[in-house]
Amino acid sequence: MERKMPFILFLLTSLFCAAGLVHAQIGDRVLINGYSSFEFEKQFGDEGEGDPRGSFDVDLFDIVLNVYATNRLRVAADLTWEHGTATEDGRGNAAVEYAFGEYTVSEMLKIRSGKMFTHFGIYNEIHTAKPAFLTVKEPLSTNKNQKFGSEFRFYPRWLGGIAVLGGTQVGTMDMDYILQVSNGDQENTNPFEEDDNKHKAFGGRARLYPTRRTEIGVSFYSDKFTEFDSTGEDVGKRTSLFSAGGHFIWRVGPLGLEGEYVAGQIRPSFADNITRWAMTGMIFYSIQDIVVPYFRLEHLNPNTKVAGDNATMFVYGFNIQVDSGLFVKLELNTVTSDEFNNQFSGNNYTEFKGAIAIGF
Amino acid sequence: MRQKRLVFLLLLVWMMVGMLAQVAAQQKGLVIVNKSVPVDSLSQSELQKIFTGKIQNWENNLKVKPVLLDPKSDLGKRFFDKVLEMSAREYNRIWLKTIFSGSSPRPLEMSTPEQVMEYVAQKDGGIGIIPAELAESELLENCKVLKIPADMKF
Repeated sequence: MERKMPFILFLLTSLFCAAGLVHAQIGDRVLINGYSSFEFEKQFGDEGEGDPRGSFDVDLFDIVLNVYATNRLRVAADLTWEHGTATEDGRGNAAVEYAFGEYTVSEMLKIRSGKMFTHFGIYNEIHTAKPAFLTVKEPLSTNKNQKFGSEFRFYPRWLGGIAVLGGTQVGTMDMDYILQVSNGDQENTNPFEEDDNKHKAFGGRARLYPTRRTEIGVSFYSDKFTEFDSTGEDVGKRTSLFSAGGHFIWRVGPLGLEGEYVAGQIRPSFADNITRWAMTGMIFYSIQDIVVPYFRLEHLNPNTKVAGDNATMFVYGFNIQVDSGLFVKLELNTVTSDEFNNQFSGNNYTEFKGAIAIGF
Repeated sequence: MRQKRLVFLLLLVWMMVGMLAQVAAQQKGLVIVNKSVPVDSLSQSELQKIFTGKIQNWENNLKVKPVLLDPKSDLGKRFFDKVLEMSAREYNRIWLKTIFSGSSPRPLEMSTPEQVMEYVAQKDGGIGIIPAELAESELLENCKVLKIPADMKF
């Protein structure tokens, strides 16, 4: 009975949370939305990189603000509180996921400035918004590869800079695009986020919608990092990073497929180039848009020149829309890895993950 | 005599079926916009894009301000089935992704057609749906009714 207690508590909380959810509006110009995700994880067995003890995780609670200063000017912000029940004592964190101003010149041209997500592939802009996707976590292989055996991410989570974006029609198809220029990621930062080199990071994504339920997209990200010596001095050389990817989402009736492929290269001046690639593929079937069983396969090759460093994950589970904006997710994650994978070192394991995700 | 009665009955049934079919084919919902909106008609695809956040500005760059009638109401349900061609739950999933990616906030939801009319009349760029029987309402003074394709009547 004791072993079942966390599961029972988790289910009871799900039911308790099944209350009506509303978003708030102040006048016509200020809209308040938000989301949260409460999770439970328990690894089967003691070997592996999961959580063998079984833990509750107050993963996040976010408030999303949209303020229409004028008809053309929108200010948007996502304020987050992540993990830890005592942020005041230095546990967990409170932060800003994005905060930007967006000026609409036309449907085809909007200009955005501020802190924003890197627009790459399917998941990065929604990786914290758990009610916005089926699984408990975003794919690690393509979106969080530093937790899957890579030394560096394919692209940073966030950018501080300027973006142009918009949408239009190409023939009978809709398309949208975004181009972002930013300081990029840097090892040594400062309170003003002053760039530590002259190079700016460039990124972009274009998506085409051949049908209303089909999406095809391509993305890229390019940056150069400053190389420092042991005393922290800029040695005047740069490490370059380039990543490119393609993705698709396809739905026919209740059946859905999505896939993403990302490949890239890191070129340090002091060592060999690292070429890596990753993929995810998911199939799901929506039963009345209430219960959605899914299966996802993830794979990462962190360095194509190194043998035996790959990692693979199988994710199978259910997403249940209990009420408008209230989702219960139950899934199993099975990780298999090679001996020289940085993250898992060949320790294969299976973990249960459950989540209550709320969007309002 | 019996034959005449039978013919009369058949005629009656035929007329009733015809009337019912006509009633069923009649438009029960209207798409209304604020007078500031520079269009007189919209296709089904355009309506779908407006209500799922893919079109955010009218041709004159005025912000599109869609307002939904309660999806649990009869007209709200028909709008989802025949125009948006999706369930309220699928609509909800689409909007969660759109809002939280920072793209656009979701349309407001009103519980009565009167609230929809008031909102659309007051807001430049407003668009909503109301039952056809309210076409002559005084609340529509600052609104216009859009033409929609014949096969999209809801």
